[in-house]
Amino acid sequence: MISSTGPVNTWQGDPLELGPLYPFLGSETLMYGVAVAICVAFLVWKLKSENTKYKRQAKKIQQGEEDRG
Amino acid sequence: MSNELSALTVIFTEFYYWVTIVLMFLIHVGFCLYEVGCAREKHKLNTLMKNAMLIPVITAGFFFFGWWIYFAFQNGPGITGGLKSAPWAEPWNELMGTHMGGQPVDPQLTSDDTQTWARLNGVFWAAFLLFSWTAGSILSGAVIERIRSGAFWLLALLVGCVTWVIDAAWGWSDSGWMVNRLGYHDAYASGVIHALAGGSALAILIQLGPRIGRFRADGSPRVFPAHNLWMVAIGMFLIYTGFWGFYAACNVPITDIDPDDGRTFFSATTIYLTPTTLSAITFNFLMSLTAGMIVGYWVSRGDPFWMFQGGLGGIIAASAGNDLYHPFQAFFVATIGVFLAYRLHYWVERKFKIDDAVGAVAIHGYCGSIGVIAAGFLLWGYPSSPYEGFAPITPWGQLAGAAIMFIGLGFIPCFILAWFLRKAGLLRIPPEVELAGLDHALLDADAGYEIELVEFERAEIVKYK
Repeated sequence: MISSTGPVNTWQGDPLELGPLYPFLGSETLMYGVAVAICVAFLVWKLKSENTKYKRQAKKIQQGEEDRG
Repeated sequence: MSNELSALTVIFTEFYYWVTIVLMFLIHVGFCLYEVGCAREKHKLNTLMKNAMLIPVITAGFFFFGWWIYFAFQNGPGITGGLKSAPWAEPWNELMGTHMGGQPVDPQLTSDDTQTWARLNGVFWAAFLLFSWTAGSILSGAVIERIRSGAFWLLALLVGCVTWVIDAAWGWSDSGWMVNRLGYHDAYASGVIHALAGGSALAILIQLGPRIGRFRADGSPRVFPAHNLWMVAIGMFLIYTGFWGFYAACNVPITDIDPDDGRTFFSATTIYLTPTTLSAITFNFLMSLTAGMIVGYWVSRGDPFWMFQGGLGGIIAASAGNDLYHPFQAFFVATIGVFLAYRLHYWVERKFKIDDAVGAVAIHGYCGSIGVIAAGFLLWGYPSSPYEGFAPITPWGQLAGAAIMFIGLGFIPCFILAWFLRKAGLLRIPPEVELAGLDHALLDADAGYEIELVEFERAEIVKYK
């Protein structure tokens, strides 16, 4: 028998016995932690980068106006 | 799934919700088109990105915790009981993945849980999620052209994954405490989505302030014309189209409503498991749309913006009771709702200098609240639930419900978060950028590219001469 990443080795058995089908059963909490960390990191990055971007843009626009003035 | 009738019922229900989700996706397409069309030329790309990126932000949040909140908070907690156990909605649970409904691995789950949720969890989750996107999108239109996208996404996360989900647990579930104690009835979400999102938008608008130049020195408002009316019109038609899916998604398509265990009587029901029919809600949807469009057209003297918004407001106003109304009643409630919302919009705008770019507070917040209260009078004394011991529908129960939605869970949480964001300097873009346009940097980059291209072409021509 080939070793499997999930709980299924054959589709020939009783379908009533089939529960979860996805691979790496038992790693859900770890995957949850990683996914949450990615999303939180994205939001923090967005807030920070936006702050920097707008500061830079406002300064550039002000300088442009002063140059024109 | 082991006999033909139960298999057909479950798979029909699974497919039914799946179709509603696809239809509801059009609401978001419509909101994006509408909002970008309403924005001025210099802000349009940023406006699109702000709303489009709401999809991944809210979806992740709703998977991580929103879905669990819906089940866990139905008793308050602390009003009709404690936190409810809902292992199938925990993001790490096996029923959040591919599952055939057999014996559970998780000891918290029963075989009943797996049989019920294996095929319905994902489609129920997504139907609720699309409501969450709608709640976020309602805010998005109101605040265009001056809010920072990061701040907006945090506010959308609060509304789409926390506050609307709590109000759905309380007032839009078969055992929510508001249904139990107040007899709260809101079949197609006048209050739980629209009043709440409208109240949230109003709170953010107060903290955010109006767009530069929106009000003259004497306090009178200037009109900032939409940059593309066709996008606005097509967007509104798509929102109407998606709203059909929304209505269908609010129903349970087939369930046994006969309380006698020895008999069965299959019907569609509302989320409260009270009977209705797709036929009835189709009548009422179209009659409330009709009334809203007529009133919107009449009261604004043919302004296309208010004609379209009126149609949407009409449906929203009648939605709380559209499971039980006669089509004429849906028509009358929509008439009153849109008329009052239009008047209130301009009164609030002039009196408090609130710059709601798309009329979201009026159409969603005011129409939704008026609709919830109207249902209290029209459906006075109706049972709110098939369960024994639940309060009947009353005007005071609905009035309390509207206040909880608009103020308690809508206005207050967003006012607090927006206040913190404002104090931290993260809420609003700098005035220089607002005046130059949110797409300023992008347009500058484009201009740079074009200059470079022209220079390159000139050099090439010289080379070949």
